[in-house]
Amino acid sequence: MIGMYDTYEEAMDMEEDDQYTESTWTYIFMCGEPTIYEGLRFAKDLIIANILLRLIIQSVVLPHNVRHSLSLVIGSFLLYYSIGPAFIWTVGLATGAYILIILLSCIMKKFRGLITSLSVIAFLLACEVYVLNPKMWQQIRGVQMIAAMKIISVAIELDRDLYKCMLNPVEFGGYVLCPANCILGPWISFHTYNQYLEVKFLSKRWFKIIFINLFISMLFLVLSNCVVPWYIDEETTKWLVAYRDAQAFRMSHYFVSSLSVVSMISAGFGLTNDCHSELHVTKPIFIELPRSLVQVVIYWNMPMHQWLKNYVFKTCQVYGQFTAILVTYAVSSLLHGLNFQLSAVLLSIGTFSYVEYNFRSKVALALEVCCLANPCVKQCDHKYKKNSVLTIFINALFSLITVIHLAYLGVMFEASFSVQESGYSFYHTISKWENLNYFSHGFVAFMYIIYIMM
Amino acid sequence: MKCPWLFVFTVLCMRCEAGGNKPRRGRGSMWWGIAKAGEPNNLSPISPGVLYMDPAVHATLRRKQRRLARENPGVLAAVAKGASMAVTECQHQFKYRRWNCSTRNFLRGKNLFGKIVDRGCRETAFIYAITSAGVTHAVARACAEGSIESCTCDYSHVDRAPHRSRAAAAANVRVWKWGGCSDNIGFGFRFSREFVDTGERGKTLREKMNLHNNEAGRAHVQTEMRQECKCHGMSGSCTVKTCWMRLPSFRSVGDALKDRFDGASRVMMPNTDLEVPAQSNDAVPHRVPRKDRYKFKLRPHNPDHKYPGNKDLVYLESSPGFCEKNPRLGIPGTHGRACNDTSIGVDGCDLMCCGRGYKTETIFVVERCNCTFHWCCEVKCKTCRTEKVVHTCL
Repeated sequence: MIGMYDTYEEAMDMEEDDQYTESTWTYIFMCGEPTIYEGLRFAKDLIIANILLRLIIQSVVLPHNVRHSLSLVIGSFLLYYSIGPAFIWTVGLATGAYILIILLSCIMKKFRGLITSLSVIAFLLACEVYVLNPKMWQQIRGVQMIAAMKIISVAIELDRDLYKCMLNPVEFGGYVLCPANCILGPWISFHTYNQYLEVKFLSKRWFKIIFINLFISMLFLVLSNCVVPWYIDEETTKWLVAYRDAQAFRMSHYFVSSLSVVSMISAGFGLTNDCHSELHVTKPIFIELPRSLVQVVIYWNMPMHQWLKNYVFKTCQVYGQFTAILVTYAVSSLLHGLNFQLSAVLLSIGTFSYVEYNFRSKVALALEVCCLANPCVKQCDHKYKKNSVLTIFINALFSLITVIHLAYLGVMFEASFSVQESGYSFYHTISKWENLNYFSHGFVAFMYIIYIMM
Repeated sequence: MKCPWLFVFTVLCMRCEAGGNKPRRGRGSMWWGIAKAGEPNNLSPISPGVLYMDPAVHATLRRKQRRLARENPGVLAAVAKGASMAVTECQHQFKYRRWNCSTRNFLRGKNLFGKIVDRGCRETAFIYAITSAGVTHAVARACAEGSIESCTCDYSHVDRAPHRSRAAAAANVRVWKWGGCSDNIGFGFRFSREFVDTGERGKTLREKMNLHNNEAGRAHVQTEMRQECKCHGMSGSCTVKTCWMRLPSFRSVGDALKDRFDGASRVMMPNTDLEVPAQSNDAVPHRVPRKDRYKFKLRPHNPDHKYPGNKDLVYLESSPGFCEKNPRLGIPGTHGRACNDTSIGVDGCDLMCCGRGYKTETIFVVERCNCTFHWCCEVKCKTCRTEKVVHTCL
């Protein structure tokens, strides 16, 4: 009797364990296959359009303007195939901005950059608030942002007299709608774009690089969709869950970034003449194991960081360091649209990294430890060098704080699909942060007080 | 040498049984025995080929079911898995009830769940629904895993997205199509209809009841299936969408069916039933056309009750008492069943033992304890010896 009871209990236990393991892997599988299928379906259009562009440029000797118009035409088709009729907004933005730049060029030579930037941003905001429905805006926001960045950079470079003559419409259109980066980015300057159109190469390495990057992007996609959301259980502490959700969002970002590399490479952009990739969009390792928030901001999207630094920060630097930083963050959040969540996240990152930067420089000075927000470029002149125990300990502590900040900031982007699809509300953001007791904001405030007292 | 004879014998036995002796039971229930195939008493491990060759399994299948198994290599293993999943789930759901979904030795033409299925009661309704759901679920999953050769992820179906397209059209966004193995559930559903409903021609009331309950089981699997999506794009925008379908866990299907069991409706033949054959082809009066097999409406026994929906379970007669042993109905009785002395529910000793009283014993149980989860997918436990008080019905 007793024996029977035992075996029965054991059998039940065994059964439940087996089921648990199986359902986990089955879930990953059931999620992974359609995910990869859809990821590849999206990548397919990108790759075909870009390879077509590259093969035509490579094999036929074309005059300058024809090459640009080829980029313009293929880019428009690609846009239409990926976002549908909404592509008219991007084309409209490019056309309107070009006409504006031409008109401004007739009147003045100085404030073209400023006025164009303001008009482009105003146009984006108007699109978001009055014209487009939230779903459609969520869909084309990234595309519009890239186009806006390109237009603003052209306008500012015109002010800085970096062009021999005014760009003709074909050059401008080809640049803005270039298939290599009109959908997922990354931003590149007009000069780089022009230069890449000239690059000639043809080798097997090219396919290899495309394939490797495609593989990496699919890996991040599966991680983001199927693996990361699962691997920490819902019932653990809310911080671990927040870390998991934020990480899923970061994986999604790595996926988009590496897919943008795929699209660039398949157009032959970002390759040297001997077919080596010189393109870096994001560096997952520096974000997953961060030294500081400042580093995360730099490596999150390197071309975008470059753009902000080059066109916003440097332009505003004459008005003082603090104003320049403030304007940079303001422009960055306005480019993302009038969304409370993004503005809040970006502003928080701004203040957090500002406080962190200053606090760490004070700590480094006080303890003579090499623990600045950015690693010392050459031999650092602190007493405790990079490899001393104290330095490693303090840097690890700061890393941990950064990881917590990242979880706190990234948890926003984990939401039900309907929210993801139609944009994040004010309430959503606040409830997420409330759930974590506004920890990071409080912590940074505390850090700032110590900084002042030090 | 022995096998063919056994095979012939069992088939003959099944034939005669289906033909005359048991007119009330639907005829498509023998395949349940497949749940016990491949268990330790049979020497072979589950693999499609071996399973198909297994004469014991072979004997439980009707001719059409055998044809289906032949035409869809690999499907039999899924059916077996689905059936045993259904049995496990049934036993889990009815663990603390007088009828605990116990199964018999299925060999020699006996029904897996015993003679209870000869009666059109609630329990029978549940058995039909859960087994049909089990097959749908297991076949859909096997299809997604690629272990059924005839079922591939059919990408020609990607454009079909009726529930999304209307919303998308209203929002003036290009109709976004979703891909992936969307049609696994469709394959599971269709296969379950073909396989499970074989022999239920839908002529008698009992066959209608079986068909209805089979459909209800499938409907639960189908409607509990969820679509999950995620957006990808620059800084949280939604340039790329990826979606996938997620089969419900079989436990949730079991829970839903148990709810329907508690609220099952008793039905009778509708008055308008004569219309159905009148509409169909008069030349073949005895045969209900295949497509119309599922087009019937059962009338509630109590005219004040509402008509049963497609997810409701239906039954024809009240359940027998499960307290005492009843060999005629194959009921073992609740003698010797464990019960809970503090509960006032069906699992409580008062109800479970039908007022016969119970005995209390203290026993030592060796069980797993202090279980910890190890990365990845492994649970390690210690074994503890604990004292347990067990109550069993007299």
